[in-house]
Amino acid sequence: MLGYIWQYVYTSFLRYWLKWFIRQATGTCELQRICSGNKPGATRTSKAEYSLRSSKNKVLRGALEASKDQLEKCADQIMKEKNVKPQKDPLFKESLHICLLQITGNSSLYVSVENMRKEVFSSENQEHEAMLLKLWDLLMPTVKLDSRITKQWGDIGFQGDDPKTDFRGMGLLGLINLVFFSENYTEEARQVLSHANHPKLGYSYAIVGINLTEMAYSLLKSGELKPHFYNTVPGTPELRQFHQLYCYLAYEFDKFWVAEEPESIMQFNQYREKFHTIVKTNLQDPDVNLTLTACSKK
Amino acid sequence: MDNLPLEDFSSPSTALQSNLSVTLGGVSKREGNKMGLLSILRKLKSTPDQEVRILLLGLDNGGKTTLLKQLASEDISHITPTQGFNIKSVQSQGFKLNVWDIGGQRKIRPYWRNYFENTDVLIYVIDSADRKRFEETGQELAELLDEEKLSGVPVLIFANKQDLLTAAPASEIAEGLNLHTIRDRMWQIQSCSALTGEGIQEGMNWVCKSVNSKKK
Repeated sequence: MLGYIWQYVYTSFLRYWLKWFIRQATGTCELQRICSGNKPGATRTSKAEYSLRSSKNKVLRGALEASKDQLEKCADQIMKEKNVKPQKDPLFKESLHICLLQITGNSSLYVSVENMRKEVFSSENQEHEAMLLKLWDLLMPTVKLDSRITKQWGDIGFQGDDPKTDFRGMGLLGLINLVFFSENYTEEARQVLSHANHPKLGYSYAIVGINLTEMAYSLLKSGELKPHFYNTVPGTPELRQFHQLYCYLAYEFDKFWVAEEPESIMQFNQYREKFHTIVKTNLQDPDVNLTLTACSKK
Repeated sequence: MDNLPLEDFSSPSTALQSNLSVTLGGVSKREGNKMGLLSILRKLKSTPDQEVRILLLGLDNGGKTTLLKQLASEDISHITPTQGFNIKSVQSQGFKLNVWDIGGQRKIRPYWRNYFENTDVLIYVIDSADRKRFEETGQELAELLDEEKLSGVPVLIFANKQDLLTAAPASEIAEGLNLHTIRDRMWQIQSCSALTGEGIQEGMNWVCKSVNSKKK
């Protein structure tokens, strides 16, 4: 209870008085101090985000909603509003601009990912079909598919004869992630598949992959991925970086599963939760970097 | 005594009301003297509802997980294929329904039997629009009904996905599955759409009714 009262008093009054006082004493505004006092990445950008969000100034809060190409102008406006002279702090504008790109980038990335998720896999769409067949060829280069509808899909971990029903709530996003992993980390993907096809410790490669897409998606949606992107992308994160994160999850989950040696596939959800907790704990670390470190072909 | 929360007495829950007559005797005999009336009431309130074990089975892509999430009033837009199983507890009509949703892909059907023990009601979910697999789903159901551990267990068949234009009506499915030949247990077929929620309440009412009549 006391904590709540303190927090209320602090955010509504004390914070402003304190800021004003420091400003008078040091001659720099809070954003300047954040940018000069923290190295680029999650610590700096998260602080800047908090500062902008709790600002009473419309220009500062407005910058959080601006589109990508407006952000440079926003940085200029903020500097004018806060009376920051470019000559005095030449690095500030670029730092602020990057922070703004990163902060607004998270929601624009979510919009792109959400659109991809909402696109339903359709057998009538030739692009979709081609992607599905490409996935097969990348994972099973030496085996030919007998036909489009075949039990063979089970060999790469789909549930039945026709993978189309397995995409469900993740739509095309699930397929694109699977293809991206196999295409950019072919060795690793095949290695993971071979673990998944282990007779005792195995799991269904493709549907576990779709499940991990769901994990990546909800982490993005909740904002929990922000520190990772702030640390790894000095600008707006793109879809590619989201797919990269999926690759990390697919590879790391497999490593985790193999190390844990679960009794059977029926334990999947328990271990998924355990893995989910580990990922979320890692994301609490301000230096978090969830990049697949295995050697990749570019 | 002082730290008893007041709301325990001011607003007795429905659970308290319905369990009062049943449980009061038992508690007061054993512990009544020591505990006093207030703590008895408090204890009664926390008396759990009767637990019911419900097994949700059916082929993959039938809609079991969507149904489960609907029952628990959760978001159904991000569902992925079930690897393993999901379990949720739902309160309904004085029961605590523990619903086990087991993945339906062929590879894990052999594990279904690990979940048969102590099942009170079997719910079998069918994709009414997937006519190509009616035979397969019928076979799986017939095998389940032959299982010794499930003998006498009431079965509710959900003819799901009635929101799709191509869905077969429940009557056609009942005929195709020869449901009228079932003699050794209570059964019911209910058309529903796990997506829109239509028909689910009716089905669950039957589930609660069949648990009640089994008790008697």
